[in-house]
Amino acid sequence: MSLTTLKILMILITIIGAFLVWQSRTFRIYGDQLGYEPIQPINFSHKLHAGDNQISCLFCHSSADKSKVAGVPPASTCMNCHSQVLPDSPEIQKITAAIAENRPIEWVKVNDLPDLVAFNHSRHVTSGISCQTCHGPVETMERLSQQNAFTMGDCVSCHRTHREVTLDEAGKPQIAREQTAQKLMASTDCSVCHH
Amino acid sequence: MKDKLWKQFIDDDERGLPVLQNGISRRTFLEAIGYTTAAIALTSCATPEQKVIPYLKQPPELMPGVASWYASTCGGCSAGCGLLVKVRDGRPIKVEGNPEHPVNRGGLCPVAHSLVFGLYDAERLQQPLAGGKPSTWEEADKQIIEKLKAIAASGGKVRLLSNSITGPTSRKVINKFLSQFKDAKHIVYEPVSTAAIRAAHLRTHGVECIPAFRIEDARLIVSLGADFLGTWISPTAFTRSFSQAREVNVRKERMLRHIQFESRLSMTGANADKRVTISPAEEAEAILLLAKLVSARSGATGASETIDGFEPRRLSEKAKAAVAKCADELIGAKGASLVICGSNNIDKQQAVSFINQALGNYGKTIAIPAGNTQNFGRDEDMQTLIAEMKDGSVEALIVLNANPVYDHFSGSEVANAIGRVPLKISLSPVLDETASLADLACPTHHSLESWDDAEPISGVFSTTQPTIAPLFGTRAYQESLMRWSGDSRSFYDALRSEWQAGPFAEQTDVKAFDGFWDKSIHDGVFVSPKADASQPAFKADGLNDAAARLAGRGSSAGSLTAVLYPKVTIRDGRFANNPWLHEIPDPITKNDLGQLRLHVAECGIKGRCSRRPGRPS
Repeated sequence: MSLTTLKILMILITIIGAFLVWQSRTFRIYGDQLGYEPIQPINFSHKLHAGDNQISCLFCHSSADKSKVAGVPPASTCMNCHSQVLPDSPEIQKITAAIAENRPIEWVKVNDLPDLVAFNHSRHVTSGISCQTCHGPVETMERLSQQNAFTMGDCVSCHRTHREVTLDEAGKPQIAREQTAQKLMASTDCSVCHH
Repeated sequence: MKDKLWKQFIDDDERGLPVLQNGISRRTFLEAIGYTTAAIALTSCATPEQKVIPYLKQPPELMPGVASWYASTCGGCSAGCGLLVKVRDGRPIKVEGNPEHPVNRGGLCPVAHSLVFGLYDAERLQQPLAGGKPSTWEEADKQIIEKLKAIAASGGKVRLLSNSITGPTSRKVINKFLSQFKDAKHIVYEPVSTAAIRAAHLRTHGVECIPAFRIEDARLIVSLGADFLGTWISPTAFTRSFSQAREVNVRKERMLRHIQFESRLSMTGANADKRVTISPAEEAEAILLLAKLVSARSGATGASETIDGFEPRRLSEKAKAAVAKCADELIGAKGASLVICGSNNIDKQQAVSFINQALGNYGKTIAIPAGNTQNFGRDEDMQTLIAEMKDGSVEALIVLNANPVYDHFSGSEVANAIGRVPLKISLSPVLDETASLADLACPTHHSLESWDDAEPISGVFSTTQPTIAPLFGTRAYQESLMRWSGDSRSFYDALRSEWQAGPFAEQTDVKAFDGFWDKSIHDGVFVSPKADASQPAFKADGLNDAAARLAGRGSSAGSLTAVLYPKVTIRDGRFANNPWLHEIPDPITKNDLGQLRLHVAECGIKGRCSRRPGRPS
């Protein structure tokens, strides 16, 4: 191999390497869906509902504090309000049509965990972890996107940060921002998630 | 070397390294493969899109991700155990025993635990078949009704062959369907039959029934080859009673003692306090000797001269001593003992019935006619059916779940006989050996998809409710029969109206039928408050003849005796394609997958055991 070829090769490697470091989000391991923002069958805006209109997350995702899954609301939940509010909007008409045709709405799953992890929403929600801790600022999103890679590292780093919990007047747990040495919550035992 | 086929494409280059004939070196070739593979792998690196499909209108009692439990009845065998089915997101995923069900009282056998596998079985038929080709229900109904009408007009024989059907409403539907024809009959067939117990009680008590064995009330149980903890009649119920009676506590005077006489080591024998090995040829003499000793000691002599004067000829000295000791113990536990026999010989069962009578067990540990519909096959009906089919007089045969071509002792003869029937309809959910001979297959639902009821023990009405919408284009067999007899109702409606006329009328606690129905479905069982009729008296008619036949039985010297036994898991073989049941090791042989042939060491057959493969598909 001549020296010129070697020089060109080294420059190429440097450029490609720098690009990979700079644009690392573009090149990532299989299964890392950070920023995944699929188009949904109905153009639903979390910003409008949860942000502007201040509707609580649990109003629609009603099983988040009771079940392992947060639950995508049934179409009837939408129609609780939308039978009165904007019933003629083309997006609402899609829901009306789905109910009339008895055809369930197929939402595209944004946040997903592999089946080898047993994640339980209610365990986290009732411990006072806000939805935004994992799902990001959903109330600002027009279209929902994945804001956390949901890798094991993400879970474990949070589980390792033991924080003090105090109860507020309503009896809800409040989590201090400072890290304490006291092991009050979140085990990092394998079987906590992999069972 | 060069003459090898692959060598003729390869040359050597100037360095003596192999090169393909078109000049591509081995290294270049591998590089090309590598790049291609990497390129394919990279382009396929997208996580597949997944859908979340919520309800349109979510039932208020359901929550995604949280399991609900529904009470139902097991459809595995005819014991009619109560189930609690765990349903998550609309799918049954696990069954447990219903603790409030009087049959199994919370227990379940391996067959029931593996029930969900039958539901998701890929071999299930997904639509009706006509002549082996997929058809529609309208088309199948049209064909069947047309042919059945012609048979009804001509007065030809119609036979419906099934396993034990414990549901009173289902039996009514079957009888109503058969009443359209001049000569129609429902034949109940069980491959591992207990018909002899029923026939013996017809002789001794005038009631053709399997009595209720109350092991929990006994202080001593003597079993002659009955594997009542493993496979016999209602093993889960017996296991529950047995473990209850074996419980040691301070209040109990004595715990249940268990003596087992048997040839092969069964799970029941392994649990016995005393286990006596006798060969199958010795069993009849052991029963007669026991009858003689018990009747002599309890003053019940005179019922049969053969029994009173019986002297064993073939029974070994060891067995004789064991029988004598067993008789002593039985006399000591009079009225609180129980003698059962696993044989399907009517004479043996009659002699056993006499022993229980001499011990005063009827009305105490055995109840008649708290008869049940568990395993109520009639062997002679099956033999008559084969003969009728052979002579070509059966015009239509409808088969439901029964698979005699596979599990009858002369299966190929049954197959030939079925071949002579002009109209063969199968209602079985899978295309088994018998169903595959049918002209039309009209598959029924799995029991976890069905509405049904069961009365396994008289007065115990157990309900079956669907825990999932039917997965395939199947139809409940009751509905098929109702269509063919001109009834357009759903079976659910028929069930409700039968319950309104039947169980609802037997109680006075709930005034409105809807409330009663909801409660029965919720509980999974309704126990009728109607008291059992009085116990019929024991008759010794024909006992002497039976005993004489038993005493005269002999086996020629040097012949081999085979004992066919059902395995605890796959039973008579009908569960042979259930993976869970295959993977559970047999409690005694520790063998999984298939059934073992066990040899007595002295019999001279080489090799210790052999596997019998599962049901061929």
